Amino acid sequence: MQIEDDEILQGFIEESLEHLADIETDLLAIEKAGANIDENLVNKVFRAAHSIKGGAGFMGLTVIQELSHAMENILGMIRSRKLVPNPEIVNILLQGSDKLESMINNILSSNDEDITEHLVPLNAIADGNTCQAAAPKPIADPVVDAAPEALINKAALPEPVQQEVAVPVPPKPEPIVPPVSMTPMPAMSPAADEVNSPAQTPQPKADTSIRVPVSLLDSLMTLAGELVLSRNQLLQTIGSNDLRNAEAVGQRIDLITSELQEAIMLTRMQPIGNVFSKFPRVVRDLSKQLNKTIELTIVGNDVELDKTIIESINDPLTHLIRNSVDHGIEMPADRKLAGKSDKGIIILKAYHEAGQVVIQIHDDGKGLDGEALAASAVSKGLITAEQSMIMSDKEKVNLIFLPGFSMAKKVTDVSGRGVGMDVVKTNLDKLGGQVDILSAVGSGTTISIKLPLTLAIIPCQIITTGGERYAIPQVNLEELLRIPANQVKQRVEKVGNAEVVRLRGNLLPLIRLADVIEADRTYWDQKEAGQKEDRRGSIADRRGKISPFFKTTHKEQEEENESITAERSGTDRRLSASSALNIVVVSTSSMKYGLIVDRLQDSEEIVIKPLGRHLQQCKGYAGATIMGDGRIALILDVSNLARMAHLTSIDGTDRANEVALAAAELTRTQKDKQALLIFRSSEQEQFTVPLNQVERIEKIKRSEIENMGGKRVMQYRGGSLALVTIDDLSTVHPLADQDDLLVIVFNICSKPVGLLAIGPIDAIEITSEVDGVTLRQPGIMGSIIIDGHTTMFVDVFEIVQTLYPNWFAEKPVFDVDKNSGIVPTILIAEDSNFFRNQVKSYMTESGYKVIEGADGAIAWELLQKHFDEISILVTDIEMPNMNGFELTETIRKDPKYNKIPIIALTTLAADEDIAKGKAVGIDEYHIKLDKEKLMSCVHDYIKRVF
Amino acid sequence: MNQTKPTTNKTLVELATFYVGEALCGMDILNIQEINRLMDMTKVPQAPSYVTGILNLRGQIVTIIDLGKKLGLGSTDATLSSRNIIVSSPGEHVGLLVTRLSDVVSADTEKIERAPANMGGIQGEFFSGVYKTDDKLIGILDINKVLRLEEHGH
Repeated sequence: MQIEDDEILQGFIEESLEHLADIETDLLAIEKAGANIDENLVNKVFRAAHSIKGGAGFMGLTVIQELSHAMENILGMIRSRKLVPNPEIVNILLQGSDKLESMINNILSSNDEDITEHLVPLNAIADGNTCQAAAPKPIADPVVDAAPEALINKAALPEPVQQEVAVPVPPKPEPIVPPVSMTPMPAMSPAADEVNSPAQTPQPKADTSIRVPVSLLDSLMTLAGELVLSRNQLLQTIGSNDLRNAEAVGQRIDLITSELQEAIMLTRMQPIGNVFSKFPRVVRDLSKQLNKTIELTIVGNDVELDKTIIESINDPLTHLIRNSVDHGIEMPADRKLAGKSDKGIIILKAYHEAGQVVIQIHDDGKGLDGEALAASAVSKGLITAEQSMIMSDKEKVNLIFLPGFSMAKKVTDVSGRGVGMDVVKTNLDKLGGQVDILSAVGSGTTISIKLPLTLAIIPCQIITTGGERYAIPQVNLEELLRIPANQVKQRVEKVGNAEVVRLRGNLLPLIRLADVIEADRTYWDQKEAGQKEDRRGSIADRRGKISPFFKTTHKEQEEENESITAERSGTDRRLSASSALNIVVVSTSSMKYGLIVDRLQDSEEIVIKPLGRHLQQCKGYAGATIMGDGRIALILDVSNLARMAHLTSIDGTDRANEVALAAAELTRTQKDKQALLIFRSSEQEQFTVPLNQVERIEKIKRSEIENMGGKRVMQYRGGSLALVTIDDLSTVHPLADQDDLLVIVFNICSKPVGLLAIGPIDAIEITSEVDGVTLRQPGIMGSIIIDGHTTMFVDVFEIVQTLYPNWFAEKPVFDVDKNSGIVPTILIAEDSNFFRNQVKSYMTESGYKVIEGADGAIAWELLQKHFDEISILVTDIEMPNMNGFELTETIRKDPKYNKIPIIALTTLAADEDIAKGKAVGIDEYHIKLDKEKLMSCVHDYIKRVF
Repeated sequence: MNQTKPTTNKTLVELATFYVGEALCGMDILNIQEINRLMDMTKVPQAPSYVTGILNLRGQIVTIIDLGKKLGLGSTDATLSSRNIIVSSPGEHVGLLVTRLSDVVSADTEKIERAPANMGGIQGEFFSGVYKTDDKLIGILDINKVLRLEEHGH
């Protein structure tokens, strides 16, 4: 066959592929509609087939022509309602379009293809002996089997189209990510196995052209014009040596460049719908094959992502979707047994979140059993039994990503999943994406993938180590941490060979960047503004060491002497700013760790450039970038750095655990931390409320306050906000007479209420004990000493309750059960007298009986003694002797007591704590002094018990 | 790449010659992208020892290879006379750091001889041939061999 014109041929290929992509979606819609034929839709498919036929005829592609002609015939019959589309017919049409696609992708050999297997059923349908000729059963097997196979073929092994077509392929966009050497994904079904195995080196199919809206091109052109103008201005300015003007031109160029950058990025953006559109077919075919009923809902088709990402996200997504269909959703019978609808639901969702795109795959299937996964990982020797003991449920579920986990087929039997997930994760890692699994046994699995919008330009944190600059991608960045020299010793600890830092109660493994990449260890001397060699053996060791193994040069010796004299003369060099630790807290999808660097610099948007092949062996770098001064900075690959430092999340937990125990001991002896908002009502007195009760703070003018029916109100968010002052109820100085006031908004009884106050306001964390006796009066819970000032603890609840008693009319006071006469009893475990009394007063007010214990151990004894009476436990977390977690664990272990509801009270609810609490068996978490929520929760539980 | 391959009707090949340490080497001038003396390199920790660093060449990241180290002659110091010879390699540009440049020599391809097993301490495998001028012996480097990745670094 003679192909006359490459350009025309290429045009035909592109157009036909576009048509085919639509045909698939449309055919599925036609199938769904059944007898209720949508003519427009059928017409559209008909025209698509017709165009392909026409084009193929013109190009002399006879086989393609023949097949599309046969398909067109049937579509014509459907259009004229001579034929009702049923799944078999649609199947045959779908296979036809698959075949067309594969032929078009291999256009030069298309005329040698044998298409009788498609033509026979097509013509049979056209001849009118549809369902009879192709009896449902014989068709079901070959047809349904073949379809997913063809699909896998398409998805997993894109044929090297470009090589065969004699069309100049423009150089691929910079391989931003080192070309993904995709290991063929281990398949899930034997059928897929056969298909997958032959192709060892699939290469991502890259489109050679891309569609860009003309309006975008126009704006690009305008920007380019502007850029030229600015360049001319710049040249002129340089010639005239006019510095002031230069600044203006500089700004202009800066602006235009950023706009140009954005516009060019837009040209690369593609809707994710391009990838999503094939999944209805995947789910349809696969669920048929497995005899499952599954409904796939797709949300967010129009979310746009960079072309490179769109191209590489295809395989991992296909894999995950297939997993959901194959292993996630149970058989209809099992679903019914589990009390679910027999139709499984898979939701595929894409949306923007915090500058990233999140793709979520949710199924309502059987979920992942963390225990089973952990057991299997232990049996494979991937983790030790001890490690599995201390892992949270989430960590266990995420074990599925461990390399090596997928190797054994057994996992499938135990838990259903785990096949090739490490490959999915590796591929996503390469895209700078993060993947996370949430799963609940019995109710389903949600896999979230977070992806950057683009790979070409990324924001990075620049740091210096060993005199060189490095860039850490912002996506990996959690926070920056500086430990002052005088705290290094307390906060950095050594566990075995690993160093960890205590960060808000958690332990974070530390890696010294210089050690991992074997750069020179230096530190930055601020006084002399220069870097110096660092001779510290370990981080906590702040004294320079002269090792007998290293010959110290004369100069260094001198320096050492100098520093010693300096120390003696009182200015201890060890305590100078230079000894402080700069830590970049980074997170990978599996773990979080601290990277110690010499200096932190700016955050910059950088362009990623690939490293040459001689440097591919350096796993610590994701690429390089060119900085403003023309020099190069290497981009760090934080997950590989962790690997190089032999730090795995499991290791980290393991190591950290030992220290965590010690740390817990320490915090246990400490008092609770309270976050408080400090404010004044009059100049003379200082007040405080728990920060977490405050909804927001507004600045207002006194004139905004209106007096209505004896109450003060103001307009607020389209309604009236009731205003109160502390002196409405309490004997304190009246509200200061000034024009600028603050309104602290609380939410009480689901109504907003504003407390009038004046500044200055401040938020602090404090551990002092609240005195609930001395200054107690209506509206004032007690007092606390903050920075030497006696501060009154305001009870907003009480104030509102007194001023607006009608708000509380429906307050659920527990009625003593008329029949049994039993008063529900609540056990409170709390070490602080103040809080204990406070909580107790809430309970007694509501009509409950209260038993109190001053710590976990006492509460445990009380529980055993009074178990028959106690219906609920309200416990503090931080307590001496036995803390809330331990108390809960103890209770949950005892079959006699393990049914009792446990509500935990905390002052600062950290996510980790909540997770830990849930893990040991705490039912609910509530913030101390949030009376309303606590009580409604207690009521709920009591109602259930009685 | 093969220096010995004669062009259709010419048998002359222009060799750019340079010193690696004390050894005089040459390569087909057509393989050379450019020669510069940019020495503001960025070190790459953990790179193979023969990689001196990376360089920004008008927006492209260029890996600089110390030719002396690569050929087993010891490291090349960055001096006033040292130069980077930028050659293109598949998909990227690579710089070869040499001690100093010498002349361009027109060599008759027919007079290029097979390289000996060892030449001035350099393994013969790096050469595609040797060329004798009146007073000098030029080892013609096989760029592909020089740029080939070693299995376990150097």
